[in-house]
Amino acid sequence: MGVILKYGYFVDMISLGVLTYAPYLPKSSRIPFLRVEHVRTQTLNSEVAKIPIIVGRGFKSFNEFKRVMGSAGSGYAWLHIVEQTPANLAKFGPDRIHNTANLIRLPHGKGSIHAKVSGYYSSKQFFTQGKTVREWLSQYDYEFQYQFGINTLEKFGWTVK
Amino acid sequence: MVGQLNNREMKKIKNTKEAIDVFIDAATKHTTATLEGDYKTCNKNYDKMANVVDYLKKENALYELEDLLNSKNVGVRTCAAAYLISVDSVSKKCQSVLSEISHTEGIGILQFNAEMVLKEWECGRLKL
Repeated sequence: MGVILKYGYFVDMISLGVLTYAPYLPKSSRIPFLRVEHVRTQTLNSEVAKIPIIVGRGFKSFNEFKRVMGSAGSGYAWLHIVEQTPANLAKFGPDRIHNTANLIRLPHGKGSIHAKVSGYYSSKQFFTQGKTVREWLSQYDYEFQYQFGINTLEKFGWTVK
Repeated sequence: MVGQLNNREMKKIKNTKEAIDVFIDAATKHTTATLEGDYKTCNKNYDKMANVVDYLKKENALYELEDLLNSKNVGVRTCAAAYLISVDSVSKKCQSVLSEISHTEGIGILQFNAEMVLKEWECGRLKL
């Protein structure tokens, strides 16, 4: 029982009982009672590949998530990596959106990474061709949106603690 | 691509020189706004650039953007390359400009944007 986590695995750190969250671990470590799903997806390089996803704990609503996991804390807010848009909720289901593997805790407010990422998703960029990044992203599957979200967070300065 | 500025904001462009000046100003503001997460300023200036490109296409003068591929401003270079990448005569140069930006460290999301423009182009989905 259990899985060996490797670099590049998306991992739900809440399930590991720690207070900071990371999408992947820098080195291999054996973790019991987690499940790995290999999901076939289009990567950001437009290749089709199977990527390993560590499945976290899902909730029926964001309120239920917060009731169990707690508030993000003063000056902090939870951020959905794959956004909780009506389209995403309908396509992927609330369990995958309000999931411990999909939510990270970030400082909140003007000038924060949280605000910059949210602003970026509402902006029009050249590769989105007149749509907002959010609208453009909605055509893709969960895994693509997840990778895109992690890349965006990192480019705005988010680092794994 | 037709911009979505309202009539008050959509200043009529008088000539090519003015078009290029508007493009440079809008590209600079779009870049700064992108880095700051200010999507309203970002989108307003995206539409201004689209408006300029419509004008240049009508005037058969899209090539006038080519000089901007050598701009010192990484945002201006990216914007010009994104619009010119589908023009056969400069497509290779645009790909080279975007590739260089996509490998430049320390420019945050601008690096990722250049990478995504290139990827969408390579997949045949980019039609600006």
